[in-house]
Amino acid sequence: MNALDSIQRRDHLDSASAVAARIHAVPGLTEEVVRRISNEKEEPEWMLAIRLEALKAYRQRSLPNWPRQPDLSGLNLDAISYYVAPDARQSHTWDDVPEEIKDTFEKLGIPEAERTSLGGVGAQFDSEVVYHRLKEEIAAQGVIFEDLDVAVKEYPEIVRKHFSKCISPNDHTFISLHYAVWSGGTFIYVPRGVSVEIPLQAYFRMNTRAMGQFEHTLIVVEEGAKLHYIEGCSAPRYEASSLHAGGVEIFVGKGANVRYSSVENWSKNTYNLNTKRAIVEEEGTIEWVGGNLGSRATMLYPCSILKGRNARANHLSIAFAGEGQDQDTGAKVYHLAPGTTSMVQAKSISVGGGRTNYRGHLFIKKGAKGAKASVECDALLFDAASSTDTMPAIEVKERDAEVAHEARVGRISDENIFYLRSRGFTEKEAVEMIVNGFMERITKELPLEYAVELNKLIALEIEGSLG
Amino acid sequence: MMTPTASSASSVSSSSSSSTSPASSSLFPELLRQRYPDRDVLLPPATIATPTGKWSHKELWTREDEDTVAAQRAKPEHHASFLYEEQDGVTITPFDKLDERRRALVHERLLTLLPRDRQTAAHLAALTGGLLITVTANVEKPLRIRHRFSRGTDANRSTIVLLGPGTEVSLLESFDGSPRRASHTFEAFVAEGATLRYCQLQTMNGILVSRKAAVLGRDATVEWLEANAAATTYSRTTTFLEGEGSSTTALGLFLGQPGARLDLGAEARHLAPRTTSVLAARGALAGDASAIYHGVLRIGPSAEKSDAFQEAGTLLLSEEAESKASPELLIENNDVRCSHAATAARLDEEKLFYLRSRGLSEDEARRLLIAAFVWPLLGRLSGRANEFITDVLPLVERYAADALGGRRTPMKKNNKNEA
Repeated sequence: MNALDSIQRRDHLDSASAVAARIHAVPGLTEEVVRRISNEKEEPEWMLAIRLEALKAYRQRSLPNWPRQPDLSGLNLDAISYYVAPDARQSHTWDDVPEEIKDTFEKLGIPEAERTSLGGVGAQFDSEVVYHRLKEEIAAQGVIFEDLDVAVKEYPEIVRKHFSKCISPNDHTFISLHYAVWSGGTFIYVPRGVSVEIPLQAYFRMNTRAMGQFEHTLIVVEEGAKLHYIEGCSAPRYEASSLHAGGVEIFVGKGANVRYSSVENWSKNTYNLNTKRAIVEEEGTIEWVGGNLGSRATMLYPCSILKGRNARANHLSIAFAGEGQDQDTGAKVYHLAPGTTSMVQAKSISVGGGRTNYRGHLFIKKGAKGAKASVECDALLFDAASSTDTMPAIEVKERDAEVAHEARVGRISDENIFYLRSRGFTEKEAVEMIVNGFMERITKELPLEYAVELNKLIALEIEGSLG
Repeated sequence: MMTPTASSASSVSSSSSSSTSPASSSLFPELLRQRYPDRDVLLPPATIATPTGKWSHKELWTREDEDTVAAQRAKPEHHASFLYEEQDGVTITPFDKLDERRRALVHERLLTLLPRDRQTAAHLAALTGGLLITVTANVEKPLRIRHRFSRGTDANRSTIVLLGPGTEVSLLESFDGSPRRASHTFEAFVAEGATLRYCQLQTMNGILVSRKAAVLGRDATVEWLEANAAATTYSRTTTFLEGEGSSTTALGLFLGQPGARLDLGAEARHLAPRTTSVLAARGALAGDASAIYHGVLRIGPSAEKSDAFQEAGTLLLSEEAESKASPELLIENNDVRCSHAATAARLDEEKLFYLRSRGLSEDEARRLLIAAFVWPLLGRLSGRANEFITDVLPLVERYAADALGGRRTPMKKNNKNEA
């Protein structure tokens, strides 16, 4: 069995490995915990100041209360461990990584991914990146691909200039929490005019019971540069619910091109309350390609702020909700300058009582002349117990703008299945083919191994749900 | 054309009895006590909540408007406030002329199809007048009811329509004049196999709150057409598709004049198998008009084989106009067909250029394009509902002319910039 096959087996993704944690913060969030995290990381004063400011904001906020939002009542914020560091030092070669961690990554197929020429591998095991490498020729171009904790110390000017400047620590409850306790994550800097031809990749994994994962990803791509970054996320299954509240900040320079791909497959008792945002300068492009299939509840709405003239945003996403799952995902796009364009394509599949929702906000500022925006939502419902909502919000303040929104909901038609069966396929194969076809627009944008992973995982989920 | 059944509007103020206590100004005080024993705990009307905040026009909802002041200012109205023509197969009774039996009918049905919120309670508390309409046969000609309002008054009115099995009626209600604030509710109870075609023309100044709802029996049909050129409006139309095979088409035409604040919405609740719905809204916004549209298709778990479609389109005629739309699908059954679409655009410069090259003046060309934009909406009317088109078209034409008049200067400036 190769690593690619093994990655699709849920029991690998859902099993915890026996790494002894070096520090395990007392559950619950206090100022002491925040100061301890900062102290442990030997952070500069300014970072501690951001943390404490965020903690103050977090304490003044309450949980979101939106119409038809996922049920967050199972989330006990006082029982979450806000910081866990595995007993391992930062490593730069595969041989230095502890055996259990290596074993977990073997199951997840990471060395395989590296062999298939991915640029660098940064894997976050719990809260700290323990394995990190970047091919030499990319480093030689001046590209930085680092654990953010390390980057705070090694590249303080550039990190300080951008950190928390795209997403304010005061934006909403879970991002305030995130800024107070963030740990680990990726820092990528691509200098002006440099094109990173092979995708950079990181894998995040939650390994401790009832822990929170709060990794922060900071990506700065300078004028005319190009980057494709891929994240995969998972967590083993424990009885106590876990929380993932990450933050992703992307700065897309003038004429730069950034693609951010992620497959989030957290275990089914994780609350994935994540925030991702990009600021795009003149003629720049941000592309979000994402799959959400794990977790009990997801609330994730990647956001593109099209700040410069002719900036572009593409959002491609697929959400999958099986039994007991609520995938509340969407996209937010803000057209702030003339000539900006955006395209959102959101697909969802609900099976076995699962619920999906597309929740979006499309905003066209007065003065954004010639802006063009389109939003397309497609939902596939497998059975009568499942449900799907589409709640787009479209706000247009500029006359010279074109906005189009379309949504469709349907089930797999009996005729299509009948046709495929008449051509000699089994019912299961027929369903798989139709589902793969439904997702193709998204999966073809993912690197091959992620596309295969996504297809297989969804096939497995559907098989499980249909019995 | 219309023959008033009662004396002229001047009699309205003279016949109205003055009362100071809010409760006693209600037409149905006992109903108010029975339905809303504790009004303070009621929720305010629902607004659209988006991931970035709530959408609402503050002009529409002040606690003051909802409650105390409205109740004190509202005075029971004379039946002369309504102008209509009697017809065979239909009985119309103003609320101040109800007999015991009809009074019981109103008690049983009034405001039962609307949300139990503060607004509904306030409406009932300060109800000033209304009509009970019972349809017992196929009514041949459209029934037109004109609501008259005295300048600067507050009026809370309700219309209840009961359609017997297999009956059919076309009903048009128009609102004009300049009250300070008018709250109107419309509730239709449509029995098995019956058909209601309802058109509402809103051209009044002041604040209009219009909430409409219908509940449909087996194979019943409701066609809604709301043509809105009022200044400040909150309007919601809800259809409960309770009977198997029932269907609705809810069309909203909005013509926002400079200064207009429109908060419009339509909802179809599919509660039975083989139900169908079409929600469509189209309109134009001139000057600094601002419109919020909230469309909801809700398909319940028992509504298999249902078919639902929703469409919203806005034409922005000026630099200051603003449009917000949230067309939602809430689906809990997989054996359905459901889709929606929303667009926002401005007048197509190429089409304008073409029309001008054919010898039309710029104003004529623009007027034609505005009419052409809203026309597909009216095209969704079924055969007999087309009789409303003659009522609606003059509104569109007048609006197109006004809208251009109001913004001629900035338009020329804009053209120069683009050239």
